[in-house]
Amino acid sequence: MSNNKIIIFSFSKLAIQIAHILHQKNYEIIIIEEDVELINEAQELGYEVKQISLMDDKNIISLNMDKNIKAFFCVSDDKNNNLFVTLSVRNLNPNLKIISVSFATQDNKTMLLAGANKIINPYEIGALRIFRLLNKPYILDILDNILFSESNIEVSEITIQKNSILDGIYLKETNMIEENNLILLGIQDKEIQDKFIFYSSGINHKIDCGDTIVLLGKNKDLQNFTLLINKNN
Amino acid sequence: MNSFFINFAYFLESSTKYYNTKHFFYELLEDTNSKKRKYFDFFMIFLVLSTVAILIYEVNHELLPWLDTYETIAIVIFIIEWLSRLWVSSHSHKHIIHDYEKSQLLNQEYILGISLKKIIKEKLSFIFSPMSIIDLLAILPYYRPLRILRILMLFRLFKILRYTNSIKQFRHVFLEKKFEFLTLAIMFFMAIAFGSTIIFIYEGAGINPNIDNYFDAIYWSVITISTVGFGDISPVTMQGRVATLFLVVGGMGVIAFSTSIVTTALSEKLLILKEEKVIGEANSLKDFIIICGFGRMGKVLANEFEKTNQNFIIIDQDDDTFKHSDNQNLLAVKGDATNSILLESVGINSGRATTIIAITDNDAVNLSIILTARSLNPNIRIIARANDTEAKAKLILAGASEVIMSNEITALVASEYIGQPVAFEAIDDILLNSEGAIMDEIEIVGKSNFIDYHLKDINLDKFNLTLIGVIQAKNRKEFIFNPKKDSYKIKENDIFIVIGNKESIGQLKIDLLSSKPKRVLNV
Repeated sequence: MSNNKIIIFSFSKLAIQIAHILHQKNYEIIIIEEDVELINEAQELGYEVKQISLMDDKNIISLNMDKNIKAFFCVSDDKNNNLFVTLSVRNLNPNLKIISVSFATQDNKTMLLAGANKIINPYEIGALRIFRLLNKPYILDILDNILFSESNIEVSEITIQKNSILDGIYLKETNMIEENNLILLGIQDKEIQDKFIFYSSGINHKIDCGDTIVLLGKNKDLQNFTLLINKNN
Repeated sequence: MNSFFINFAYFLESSTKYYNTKHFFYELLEDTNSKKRKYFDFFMIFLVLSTVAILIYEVNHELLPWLDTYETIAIVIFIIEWLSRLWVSSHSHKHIIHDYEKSQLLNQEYILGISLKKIIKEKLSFIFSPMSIIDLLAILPYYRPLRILRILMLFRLFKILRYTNSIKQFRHVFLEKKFEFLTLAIMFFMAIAFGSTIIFIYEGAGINPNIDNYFDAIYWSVITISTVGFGDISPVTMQGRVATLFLVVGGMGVIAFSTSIVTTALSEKLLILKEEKVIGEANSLKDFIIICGFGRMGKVLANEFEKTNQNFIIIDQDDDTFKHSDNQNLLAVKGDATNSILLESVGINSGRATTIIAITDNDAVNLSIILTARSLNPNIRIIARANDTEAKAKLILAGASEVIMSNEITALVASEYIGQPVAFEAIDDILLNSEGAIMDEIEIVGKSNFIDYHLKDINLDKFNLTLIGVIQAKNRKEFIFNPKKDSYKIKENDIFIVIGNKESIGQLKIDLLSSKPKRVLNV
């Protein structure tokens, strides 16, 4: 993997957690921070730190992000800094994946406008987690197992290659997913990038190459299935 | 004689019937949180107002006979009410038992008189309490020879005070501001004394035809100082006019001062009144959750609870957080959630509070809330938010049932996005309870017609639902992922985990109960 570098703007408490998890997944972490104390903390944890200000476009260019970087996290504690940095980075790197933090639902729109691909809101995620803990404890348990633990059930996305046996087939025509003991959550059409179509929405979508299907299943079944759909043709 | 009283006291003590009856009357008359009392109060207010209305009608009309009967009935009710209050005001038989047991313990002879003295003292203190006196004065004029005292009937209006909590609070306002009111009263009387004396000296000796005696002078100065100024008595001498000027200016001061005292006292009291109302409402909720902290996270959570009609009460120290809230109808108490008295008053021990959530952005405060809550109620479920990784273990140690670290979860979600952006979008939609699809639990209840049928007999495709798995009733921990549709047998209390839109899930829940499988089960 050549582009497994992740840049995180500001070493906030959220950044510490993100860096920790991605570091475990073998990503190379680069922290951008100006505060000396936080820089020391990040260095002690073994991360590469750059003491530069992203308020200056020259510094952003020097990072040469568009080619080498997997994703850019904009997670400082200051809402306005996040907006400013997101906008400047997007302006200079049109194809970069930018994930920004938002602290209030009403700020999501401005952040998307500034150019973030994805918005994460720790308050919302935390509150909904408490809500589920109280109202839907089983679901919380299952989701946790699927998403965050080393259980054998995983969620996985597969992009349909050219010549795959699924290419050109309608979702409801094929039994392959069921036969392999997998559950189809939905599909993302190549043409309509930002919209995910849930299988449960009832739409019988035609699969084309470049579409991405999202499956839920046991580790082994998922691997078999991936081999199966790409090999046969 | 002694033994009769003692036996009777023990009989009352052991009688549940007596206890229940007394408790019923207590709830009806005195218990501020009781619903029965509310209805009773409304009834009594109506009774009071109607008898006063009869009094007014009587002034220039002939009294109709049925109105007379009505008044008699009302008076009888008033008397019964007063006697009941006298009864529930104290537990007399307890004194006898207590004193008797004490004398037994000390090997002394039991003297009934001592107990009776205590009982009478207690009852007398009730009889001479202000509210009881008002009650009595309201009843008194009905006695014919005392008809001259008819004006005392108006005391019945004061009786209304008894039935309205808020008005009672205003009485407290005056008691609390005693010092200020006393100062004001002294100032007022001094001014009146000076004013009336001056005018009486200069104009009383026949100079002003309107001032015959000292009472006229007092009347004039009160009318002047209150800035009412009828003008029926006005000064005619230079000295009198000067005195008037001073009185008018002083009068404005007195009015301004008294207004400010009353308004500040009332506004202070209003906050307390509002809070008491919230606590009162919380006490009438069945199952509710206490949210401590109404910050950004607390708001999202409250919003979710509201969507699902979950009862909750919010405690937050900061007044501003409520001001910026979109919803003004939330049950919210301003105060310190680490204060055990406050937690108790919102009902942490009532058995109706199921969960308490410490969700402030300060880990130390959350820890303190957990400890306070745990000390008050060892069984309540406590969910806490931890902002630092190190704090998590401490919060558990303090007694939290579950600890949520929002940063950690957010980081996990974000890391998922790096690896599989499309899968993440799907999960994110589900996680955020968005419009697209939700994940829900459907429990198979005993009445369902589908029990012992196979999964394929529920036409999940018809509902456009995706079944992720089943949590089996036998062993709740066991989750069967993607069970085979034509071999899995549905059992009572199975929980289906499905993904789909809200309406389909709702429809399936109804169908599982009401409709029947198409196939007949082969036994």
